[in-house]
Amino acid sequence: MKCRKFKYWLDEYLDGELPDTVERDLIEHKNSCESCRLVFEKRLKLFAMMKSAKNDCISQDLADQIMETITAYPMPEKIRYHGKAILVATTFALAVFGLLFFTGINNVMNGTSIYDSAQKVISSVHFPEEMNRNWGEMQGFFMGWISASIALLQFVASIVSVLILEYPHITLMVLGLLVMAGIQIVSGKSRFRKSQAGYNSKF
Amino acid sequence: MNVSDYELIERCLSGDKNAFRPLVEQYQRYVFDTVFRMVYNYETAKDLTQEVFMKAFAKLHTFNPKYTFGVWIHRIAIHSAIDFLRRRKPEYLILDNDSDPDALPMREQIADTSFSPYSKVASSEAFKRIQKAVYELEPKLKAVVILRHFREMNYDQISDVLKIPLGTVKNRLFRAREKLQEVLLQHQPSVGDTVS
Repeated sequence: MKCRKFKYWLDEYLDGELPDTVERDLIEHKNSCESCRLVFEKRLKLFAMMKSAKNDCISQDLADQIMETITAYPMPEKIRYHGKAILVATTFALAVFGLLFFTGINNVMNGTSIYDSAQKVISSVHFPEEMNRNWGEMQGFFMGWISASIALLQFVASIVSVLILEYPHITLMVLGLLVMAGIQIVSGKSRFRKSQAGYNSKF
Repeated sequence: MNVSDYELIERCLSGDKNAFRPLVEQYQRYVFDTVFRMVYNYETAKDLTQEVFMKAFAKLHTFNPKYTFGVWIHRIAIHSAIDFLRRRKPEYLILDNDSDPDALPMREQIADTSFSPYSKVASSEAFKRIQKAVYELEPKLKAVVILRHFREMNYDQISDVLKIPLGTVKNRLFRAREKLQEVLLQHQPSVGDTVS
């Protein structure tokens, strides 16, 4: 073992964190190298000094004061479930947005114009001609609205895609601001909930 | 992890606020000592200790059973103390300025034997020199020294508390010890002197 390595391993040895194999090499080197032995003894002295200063503080019992403040707190478990719900909702929203975004990009790449997308929205809506329609007509009616909704979302995604391709910096900045605003609204509601329940702490 | 701590946390999360009391009673001494060594001010340490437990309670739902409650509460304690030192840096940095003794509350506390929150046995000059040397380390280095030497945590635990890689723990400990050695052992006759 070289002296440089000895200094590198010394602290780990004194902390009891060194593997046995390296430990043996380190002790052998210490016994054979005078300058490293001095380094070792100096460090050992520091460790002894630090150990002598390990008396814990004598502090007053703060449990009553802490528990008194905690009584005014809302229960943490409520926040836990909100946290999970927000996580699931965010994941779902991101998945939908991602899907629509790529659909929109695909539309733009395939040359589908925004005007075509808008036409698709209008043409997929089937308004019922009579009020006393049968079940088949009802099905057609609802399917029409569902396909219209999807087409509408694709239309929006196409617009966003065009904007991103044409004005990437501005669009991404606006989207970022919208996401930040959303987070702010969610966290703001959370803070409001805490204050409503008597959360009067400074943090 | 400690089963009883885990059960207490589960009870807290199920709505039993009183289940938090045993956790406070068990850990307040360690938290206070850690925070005190970081900020070296008794009243501040008291306030910060309370703040640490409040934060712990408010964030109990985020507690990860992968860690022990002790590691988790120390993480909050160290970060609260570092935040405090960052906010109060100008006042705390004048520790070495001898020109204005009135502006040195920390120095007075260290010099005043009646102040020490430690037992009288621990109020010796040597003890205070070590405390002062640790206090004067930069916060990041001070944290690893406190966790290793006074809380007796191993490298893995320190890494968990500070959320830093093992290599960084070793590096910071080495740097901190080099500085402490320089301050604490510079006026003492070295072993080398006696040999030659």
